[in-house]
Amino acid sequence: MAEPTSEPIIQLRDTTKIYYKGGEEILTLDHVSLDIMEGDFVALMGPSGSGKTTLLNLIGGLDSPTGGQLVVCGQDLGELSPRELAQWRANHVSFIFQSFNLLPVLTAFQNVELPLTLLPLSRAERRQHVETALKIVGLAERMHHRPDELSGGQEQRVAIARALACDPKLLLADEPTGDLDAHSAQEVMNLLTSLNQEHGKTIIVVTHDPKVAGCARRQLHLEKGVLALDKRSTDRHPVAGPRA
Amino acid sequence: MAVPLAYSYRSVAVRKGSSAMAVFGIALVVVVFVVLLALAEGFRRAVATSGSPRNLIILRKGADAEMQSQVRREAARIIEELPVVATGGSGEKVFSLECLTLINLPRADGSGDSYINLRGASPTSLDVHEGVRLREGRWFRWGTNEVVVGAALARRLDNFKIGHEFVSGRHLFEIVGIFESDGNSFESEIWMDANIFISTFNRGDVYQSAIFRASGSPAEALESLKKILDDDPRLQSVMVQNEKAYYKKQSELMASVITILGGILTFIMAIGGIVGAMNTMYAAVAQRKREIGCMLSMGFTPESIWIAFIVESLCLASVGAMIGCVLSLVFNGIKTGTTNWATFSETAFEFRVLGGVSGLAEFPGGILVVSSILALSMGFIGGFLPALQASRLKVVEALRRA
Ligand SMILES: Nc1ncnc2c1ncn2[C@@H]1O[C@H](COP(=O)(O)OP(=O)(O)OP(=O)(O)O)[C@@H](O)[C@H]1O
Ligand SMILES: [Mg+2]
Repeated sequence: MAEPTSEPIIQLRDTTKIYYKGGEEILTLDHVSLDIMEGDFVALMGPSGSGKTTLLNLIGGLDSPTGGQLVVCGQDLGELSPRELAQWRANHVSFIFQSFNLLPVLTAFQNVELPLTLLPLSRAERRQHVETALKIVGLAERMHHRPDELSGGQEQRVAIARALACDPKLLLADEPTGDLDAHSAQEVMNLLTSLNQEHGKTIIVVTHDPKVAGCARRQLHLEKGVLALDKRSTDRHPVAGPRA
Repeated sequence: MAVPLAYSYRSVAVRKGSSAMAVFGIALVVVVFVVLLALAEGFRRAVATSGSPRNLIILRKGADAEMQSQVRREAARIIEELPVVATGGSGEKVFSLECLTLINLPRADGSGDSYINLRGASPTSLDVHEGVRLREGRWFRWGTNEVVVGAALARRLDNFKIGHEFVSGRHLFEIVGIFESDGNSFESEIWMDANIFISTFNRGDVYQSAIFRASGSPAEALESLKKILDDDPRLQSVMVQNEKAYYKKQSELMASVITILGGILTFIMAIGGIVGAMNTMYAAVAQRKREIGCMLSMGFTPESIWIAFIVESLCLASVGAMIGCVLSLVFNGIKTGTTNWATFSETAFEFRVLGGVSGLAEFPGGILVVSSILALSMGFIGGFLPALQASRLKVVEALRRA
């Protein structure tokens, strides 16, 4: 069983996010400082509106912090222009969404291939990546099916294959089991666990479900934009906090 | 890298109802535009192809049309003897003096009068107008009140049959044959003996035109005859031009009117088509916000999102163009007619959907090409703003669950 290395892949220092809406400030993340080690499996929990999605989006380079520092995969994301950020995302992170967000008009194969078209790969290499990814999620034989011909659990597994296809270090999943029944949810969590353990992916999962959180090694709780609790399943690692 | 094409064209096929509305709107504009261009082209073809490039035509100086022209017999005889006039196989000059007048005849259906060209022809007329051939019956006999009518006229006017008689003014004419002329505007005329014409209408020795085959190169003959006309004091009242150029000019006024009116109508309809496409595309963007957010999260650039939606709109438009073109083929070859404003005479012609567009796409199929380009432009304009909206979505907003 692979253990997280001691290298932080994600470093937040006093990271703050403020939304402005109708002249009003919404302080969504309030000076969050946090290290996440490469190879870790983190569950991000907390009540609705506590800032979980916001934090995940910042880490994935979908949005920029209002203040503080944010370094992911060795890159200070605050330094990147939107265009550079898009390129960085294509190379380093993949997202898994609650509602799968597969493109309904494309087959499973084409959906998984989509992010690969952004990388300098030949057609044959792309094909190979897609087949490998679909094999990992156990859906190789469904690759010519459209999303509406798949069950919800299968759709989410295709979405995971799509996330895997570019072989990113970091997988970010926002309530990936939120729309699934218990059985499919278990399948998806087993898949994520094996991706962490066997393929060494660093994974962050936002969830409300304690069972899902139980699959992770580390559990972070957000309350009103503040990190309220940081717990390890096996208390072998010290809580990462602001450095002295 | 661009979003795959399949994403764009399949999205069109998926939203059948919404796409169908936009496609229908664009197809309708295409049909109207094609039909109007086909009308203009058909008219242009019928009139413009009446003249032969090998012939020259003599008219009164300053006359815009044969109808307003006067050519005296003596002047014509001087020209006939010049070497620029070709000589036929049996040694006579290929030179024809012709009269023309408008007669008005009631339409068979009672919808008013038609103004019809009545031409007085000479024995050499058929040598000069090579395309003119008898189709039915026989030619008029010289020295009688017999006439032959053009095939287009016979088709349009029910009472123009062989054996029928008609009265114009105080004169009675008897139809003995029907002639054809490759569908050009001679087919909208009635022909008779020029000598009988002159005595019937008291024309003295004044004809409307003299038309002849140029010997040698028509361009050189034209230039040398122009010089002769300038220099000879007896020929000061006439001018010469190429017969084909003359008929081309006769077609231009009417064809431009059709094209301009058609252009205005199409423009107004195109605005409707563009709005239709825009609605469909705005709906598509609104519906697929999260798909767009997902693609942005993968690292697709706003430009590639813009392109994907523009391509989708162009796909809509090309389906519309295809349907429009196919539907408009129904009109191809349909015969119609109108008054040529340049000559005030009734001119029959057919819709030429497969023709070209004069001055723009002068090749077969030009009308369909130009109309398809119009459709694609409508798709582009209609899709522009929705695609811009799609590309400007902020990724975190787009990904939010509604
Ligand atoms: N684009 C935005 N504009 C304005 N306010 C926003 C925006 N995005 C998030 N917020 C606000 O920030 C706060 C945190 O939102 P966030 O989506 O991160 O919560 P969450 O913890 O993911 O909640 P949930 O469990 O419901 O998904 C909320 O109060 C939300 O209204
Ligand atoms: Mg959320």
